[in-house]
Formats: sequence, structure tokens, C-alpha cells
Amino acid sequence: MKVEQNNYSRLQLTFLVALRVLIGWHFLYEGIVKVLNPDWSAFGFLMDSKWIFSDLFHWIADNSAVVAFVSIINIWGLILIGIGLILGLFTRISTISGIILLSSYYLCAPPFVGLEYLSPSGGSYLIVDKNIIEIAALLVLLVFPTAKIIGVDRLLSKMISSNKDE
Amino acid sequence: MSKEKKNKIKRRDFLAGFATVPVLGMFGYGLFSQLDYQQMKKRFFSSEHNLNEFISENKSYLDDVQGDIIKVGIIGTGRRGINLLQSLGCSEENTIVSGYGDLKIELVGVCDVYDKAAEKALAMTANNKFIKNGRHIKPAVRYKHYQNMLNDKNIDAVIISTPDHWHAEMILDAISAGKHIYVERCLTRTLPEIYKVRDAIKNSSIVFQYGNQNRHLQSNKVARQMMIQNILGKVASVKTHTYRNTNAGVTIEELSKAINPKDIDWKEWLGNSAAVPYSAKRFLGWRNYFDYGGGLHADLFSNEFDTVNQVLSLGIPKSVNAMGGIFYDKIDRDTPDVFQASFDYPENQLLLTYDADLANSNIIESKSKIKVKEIIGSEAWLKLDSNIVMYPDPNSDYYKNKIKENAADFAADDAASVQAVSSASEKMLASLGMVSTFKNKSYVDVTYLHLREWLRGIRTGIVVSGTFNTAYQDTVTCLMATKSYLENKRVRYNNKEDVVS
Repeated sequence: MKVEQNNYSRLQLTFLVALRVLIGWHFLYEGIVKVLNPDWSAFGFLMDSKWIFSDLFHWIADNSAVVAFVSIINIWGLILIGIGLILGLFTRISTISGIILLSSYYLCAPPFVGLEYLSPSGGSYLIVDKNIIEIAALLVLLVFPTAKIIGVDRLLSKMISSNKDE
Repeated sequence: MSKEKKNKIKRRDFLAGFATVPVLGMFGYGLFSQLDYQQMKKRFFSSEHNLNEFISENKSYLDDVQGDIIKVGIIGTGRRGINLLQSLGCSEENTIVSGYGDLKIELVGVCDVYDKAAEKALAMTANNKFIKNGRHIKPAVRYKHYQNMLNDKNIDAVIISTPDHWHAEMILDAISAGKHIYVERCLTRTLPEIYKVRDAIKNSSIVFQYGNQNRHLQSNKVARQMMIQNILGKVASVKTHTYRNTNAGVTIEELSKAINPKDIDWKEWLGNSAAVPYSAKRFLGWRNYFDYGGGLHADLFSNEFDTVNQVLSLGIPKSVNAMGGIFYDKIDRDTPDVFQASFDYPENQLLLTYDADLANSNIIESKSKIKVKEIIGSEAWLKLDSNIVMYPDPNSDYYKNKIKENAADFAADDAASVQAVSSASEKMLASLGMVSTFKNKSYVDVTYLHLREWLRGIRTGIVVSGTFNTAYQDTVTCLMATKSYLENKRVRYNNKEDVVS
């Protein structure tokens, strides 16, 4: 889909960038707290998995090498996506990665009727939870990109274009 | 406008390109403030209560053990026996598992009256997943009678993981044969047996380890420090529980289908207990009969008691009152499935209680059978399992002052709140690293640590944590409850003469 980026009004651009930065902040902090807690592991969350994908998540949790790998991917994924969204750097890949990561959280522990979890959810949900709202917000950012206007991607795209021209 | 001009990076592009960089600065500042705040809280708590050294990890379990090979035999290779073999590294598959050190043992003898159980164990002794340097091991020899195994001069140490009715005789014979002993809980089935074992152990030099592997749980060690430092105030009561609904009858029926009684030396299994025809219910469900075990309180309370004893050093109670019955289970059994007991410690001014229910796993209270021990003090209430959660009493004088001094720590806490996970106190404890479920980002097998400690004791003489004294206090306490239940009376312990009446 081609998007003419310069067509946003000033307000539209402001709030789209604000949304991108706020989600980036959330990702970055979720990653940083896990780095700061040396005992953090994805084990507890994965073991708590319910619904049709629970076998897969339990298998990951049961396998110490795999769970260690998943934990590291998760931590650094969160941090890199966070920085990417805040700075508007590699924004498209950051956004898509964010959607994939959040989808895995949602599928691991979906807030469906009758599924109860040991770990705290931090709110009350029916089908819709914060993960799925954040996924939707990232999808909005994917179809209304802003980083080529406000973000490091603006500089990158210009550099790439000028290189091509030469 | 020419293409070249359009793609030229201008000042305006830099401004727009880096417009959001200050957000990272804000983030950094916020993070710094947050860390500073957490450090302040940590300092506040640990300056008064020096707990951090008890929270730190000990990773020495990762190293290979140094020293001579210890030759080990195992008596009883049922479910627990197989678990113990796994914790020693024995495996049916020839694979190497990192994370645990080579224990420098060889499993040279296996003894079980059931052929299939013995064969399974034998197959496991041919491999050890903790051996990384290619050290060659041979599969063990099977003994049909444990006496023959004890006569084998080649064996240094034995693990006893049979039903309880065999423990005393095997321990006494192993002591006579000079073998070091690791024995599962409960130590003996009856009081007269434990007195005999006590006297025999006193006069021996073997290294004895009781199967109370929870002595290695980090949370228990931290809880003990909290008691020593009087963080809970005056502790006047301790509550322990077991809630389960395991459908034991169905499980036994399923398992019994795979058993051919011809593969079992039933006479040997019965030992000195009453002669009865082969019964899968008795063979598989021996814990349900006082002839072979002590019932659910001996099996399960024994574990709870040992934890409480580790944390509070209570010892044997002055008196015990127990009640219960078979109110739920439809299977043939004579040990109760609903059971409550009170253990009186007048000198400590403390009452310990145990309540057990095999009809309901009590998901409300215990979440997936987690066995929570509640230690109730005048200043705070502690819930202990592999985690520690402390709930300061809102009316506590001690914590009221703390709230004034440092509002953030406790102000949000509400001891009456059921949302334990989100309470301020747990956040505080978690930020202190007191959540000890994970060590080195994975579960550590406490049974491995316990067996490793026993083997170190054999090699070096360093005292083990499952001493005979802990086994004695644990077993006498459980047997007092059995006696109270069976004789329907309050049972007393005379600590001067060391007898129960």
C-alpha cells in the first residue's frame, strides 16, 4: 500500500508520533526491567499458558536451553523494538516485530472465558486485553507510518535515495 | 526541484530525524530515578535486616565433584527410588546434561522385589547424564534380597527408598554392615523402631542423611534468618496444610493392570507385616495402610514439619492431639483422608497446626497444590513455600513506624487484601531477590543438592543438613500424631526420658 506521508495534518502527525513513542517507551522499559532482574525467566509465564497453544509454550518452558534462548530473544527484542519506535529507526521492522511479540504473549495467555492464570494480569479483561489493544495500535502505526517524517528513518531514506542517484 | 536537491540532507531533516531523541534522555532519567528509589528501599530494609547474604546464589553445584568414586546401592526402586536415581544423574538415555556436576559415584547395586522396577533401575544405572569427561561406568548388579547387597564389600553407601515398614530393619542392618545411609521420610513406621535406630546410630560412625531435601530451599534459609532477626515479632502460631484431590483409587487401578503378580516377591515385600494375599491396592497404595506407612500426615506433614523445624527450631512437641477419618475416599484404606492435628509447644508459647484434606485440592487457598506454610507473628504474617510473601500487620507498632519513616514501603500494603501478588510487601521482597524458585534462571533440583551433600559428608566428614536429629524430631512428631489418632487421646512427649506416652 502506498502512503503519501506528507498528507498528515499537523495534529494527526503529532498524535501518531506520540503513539509511536509511547509504545516504544513501554517496550523499552519492559525489556530493561528484565535485564535488571537477573532471576527473570520466561519460565513462569510460559508454564502458565492456557488454550490451544499451551503445549507449545509448555514445551519451550520445559526445555532449559530453549527457555533461556526465548528469554534472551524476548528481553533484547523488547529493548530494540522500544528504541526503534522511540527514535523512528528501522521503524517498519520494529513495528512488525512488536506485533509478533505481543501476539505471542496474547496467544500464550489469552483472556478467554474460563481460562484462569496464576500470574497477575494487572487488570480485568474479557477477550480484549492490553496486548491486543497494543497490537491494534501498532497496526495503526504500520499503515500510518511517521518515521520518514519524524524519525531517524527520514535521514536513512534520504541517504539511501541519494546513494541510488549517484 | 531536481531529484538531487530533494535528496540532499538539510538542517531541517536533522531536526526532524532526531526530534524524538530527547525522549530517550527522559527515559534514562526516569530509569535512573527508579533504580535510585529501589536502592533506597533495599538499603532501608537490609540495613536493619541483613538478609542479602542469605539471598545470594551459591553456584558451586555446577562444578564436578572432586575425590574418589563412591559406590552406591539402592534398595527400593519404585517411584521415589527412580526419582532419586534421576537426581543422581542415572538415565535410560545416554545423554549429557549440563548444569549439574558429576557426583563421582557409581551405582553398583539395585535391589527391588518387583522385577520390572529393578530392571528399569538397572537400565538407568548404565548411563549417567552428569558425566562429561567420558568416564566409563558399568551397569549395576541386581540383588533380590537387600541383605546380599549389604554383604557386598564393594558397596560404600546405600539409599533406602522402600515403603516405611522396611526402613528400620534395613537401617539397622546397614549400620551393622558399615554402610553410609540415605533414607526417605518417614524414618520408621513405629515408635519402638525409631528408639532402636536411635541407639544404633549413636554407636556408629556412618554418614546418615534423611530425605528432607527441602533443607536446600533458598526460601527456607531466608525465612530462618527472618526469624532470627525477629522480623515477624512474636510468633505464636504456625499453620501447615495439605489439600489434594488426586483420585488415588483410579490411578492405582490403572497402574495395577500393567503388573503381573508373578514378577513380585510378595512374601519379601510384606516382610514382618501381617501375611495377606497379594493385593495391587496394598502394593501400589501402601501409603493408605498403617501396616506399611504412616498415612498422609507421615508422608506429607513430615515435609511441612521439617520446613517449620528448619525455620523455627521447634523440635518435638510437648503434646499432640489428632483427629480425622476416612470421609471421602471410596478405595480400601485404613489411614485417614481427612486429618487435623495440633502440636503444642508451651515452652516456645506456640501452637503448630496441620490440616489435610484429600477430597479437594483447594485451588482458592493454595493454587495448584502449592503447600503454603503460614508463620503468624505479632508484626507480620509470613507465607512460605518456594517463595516468601510477608504481610505486615496494619496495626503493628513496628511497621506503623516504618510506614511513617518510609511511606512507600508499606503504605499501600493491606494485610486483609486477597490480591497478594500485587501487595507492596511482595514487591519489596521480590525486589530483594527473595523469590528463590529460580536459581541461575532455572529450577535447581533440591534432591540433587541433598544427595550431593550426603556424598560430600562421606568424603570429607562435613556435617550434612538431614542429620539423624532432624529425622528423629520429624518422625517422632509424625508418629505422635498417628498414636493420637489411633488411640483417640492426647499424646505427650517426655523430653527428659525421651519417650512418648
